[in-house]
Amino acid sequence: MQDFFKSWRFRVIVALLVVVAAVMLHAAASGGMGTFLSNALGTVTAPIMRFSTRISDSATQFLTRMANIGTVYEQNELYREQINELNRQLVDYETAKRENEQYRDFLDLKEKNTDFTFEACAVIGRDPEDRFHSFIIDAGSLRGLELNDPVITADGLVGVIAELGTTYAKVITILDPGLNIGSYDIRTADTGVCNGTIALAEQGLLKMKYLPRETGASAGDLIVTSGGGIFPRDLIIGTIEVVLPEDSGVSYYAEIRPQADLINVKNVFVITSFEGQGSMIDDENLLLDQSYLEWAREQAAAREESSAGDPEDGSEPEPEASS
Amino acid sequence: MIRRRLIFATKYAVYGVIMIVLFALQNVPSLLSISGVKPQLLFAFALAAAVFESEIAGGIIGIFCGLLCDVGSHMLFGTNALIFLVVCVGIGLLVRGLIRQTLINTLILTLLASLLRAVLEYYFVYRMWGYEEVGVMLTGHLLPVAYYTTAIAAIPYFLVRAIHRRYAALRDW
Repeated sequence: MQDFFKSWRFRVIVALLVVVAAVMLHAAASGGMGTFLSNALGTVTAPIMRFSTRISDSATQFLTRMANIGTVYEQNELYREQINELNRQLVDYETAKRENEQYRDFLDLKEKNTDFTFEACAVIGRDPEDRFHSFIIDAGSLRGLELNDPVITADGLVGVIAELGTTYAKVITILDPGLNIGSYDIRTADTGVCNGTIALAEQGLLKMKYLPRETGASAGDLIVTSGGGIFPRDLIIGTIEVVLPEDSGVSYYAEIRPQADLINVKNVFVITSFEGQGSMIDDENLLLDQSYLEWAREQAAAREESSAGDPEDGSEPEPEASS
Repeated sequence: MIRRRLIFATKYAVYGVIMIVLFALQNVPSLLSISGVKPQLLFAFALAAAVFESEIAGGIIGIFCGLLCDVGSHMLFGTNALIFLVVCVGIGLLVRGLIRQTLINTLILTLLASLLRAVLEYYFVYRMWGYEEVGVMLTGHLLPVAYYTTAIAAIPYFLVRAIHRRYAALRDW
């Protein structure tokens, strides 16, 4: 050991100690400012640290993802179940909301029409090809529905049942040319027959025919059913958009904007019975009501009078919706 | 002679590369961290080098490792270099005259050196300045670092031993 203290090795070690101690003292004397050595080392090692940290961050991120993949999967499953549960609740909510709206409308209609018996139904299907917007409802003969029962909403008349199954029914709307509805203008009491035409159905309108030439009906007037036959009285059909003369010039017609939203209707009521139901249905099962027949009789009498007075006048139009 | 110098230079170049790699690994914030405690990889490497190389080579490697540790260290620049130098020279002398270059001995020396370093840091960095509750720093941080460094000391031991033997074989070939 004594040899070691006399050897060059010991001197080198002492020299190293002195150098390192000097470095320390210099660093201490610099008062926190970097020394040349620390600056040089810092400059050299900074890119290494930056690089290693970047690699580490990437690796840590990757490993964390890998390590947490099981947890993420479980969370994902949990969230999926929660979403399914929420979706079920949403369906329940929408159903309850729809039923609530239905019952509110039902109550309103029931209060206004005490003689009506209703069946609340939902629209479950539509024929996209049908330009008259017919639809299918979720009730049929099992729930007491019958052919030609009127279908309404709280806004007004929608149509009638044209085809009946045990658990479903097909409804044609008032835009359908096959449906004739005795109607009158509640302001002027002018009567006519409402039915659809192909041209007006494109615009969502229907036609009220056989208005007399002296009619006072005008745009904005409310048109309702005149009652009898398959429709109860005073069901709102729509409002007059415009009143125009027929081509023949003998009578006028009005274009009616339906009150009910026929295109987007989702919930309807089927009137299964009312006072005076079925009092006037023609032999061929076409849909006419009393007021129309009364009007037709009057027109026929007028034609007879006219032809008696003027044998050349053969321009009197035949009613389009004849039985 | 030239070949020997070339082998010598190559070996210490390899040590230098290892030091840089260990420095990079040691500075990765989350790498090898257990509850916020990280091992002193460069210290363990310097001690292993001191076990296999001469006391002067070990001392110089210790200085470089210490200086790398001092970069970004909260201690005065050069403190680690001084501690590493003293410890590595001491271990080099012990291995040269008193103990064998076995793994167990290296681990024991690493533990003692790490504890010494922990106590020195505790005293000069914390205790001497009269901070409150400094004992927590010793038991909660410095001693766990010492134990952790000892626990991973086998890795630099085998690494340095492999390099040392490889270049010794080349030199003698």
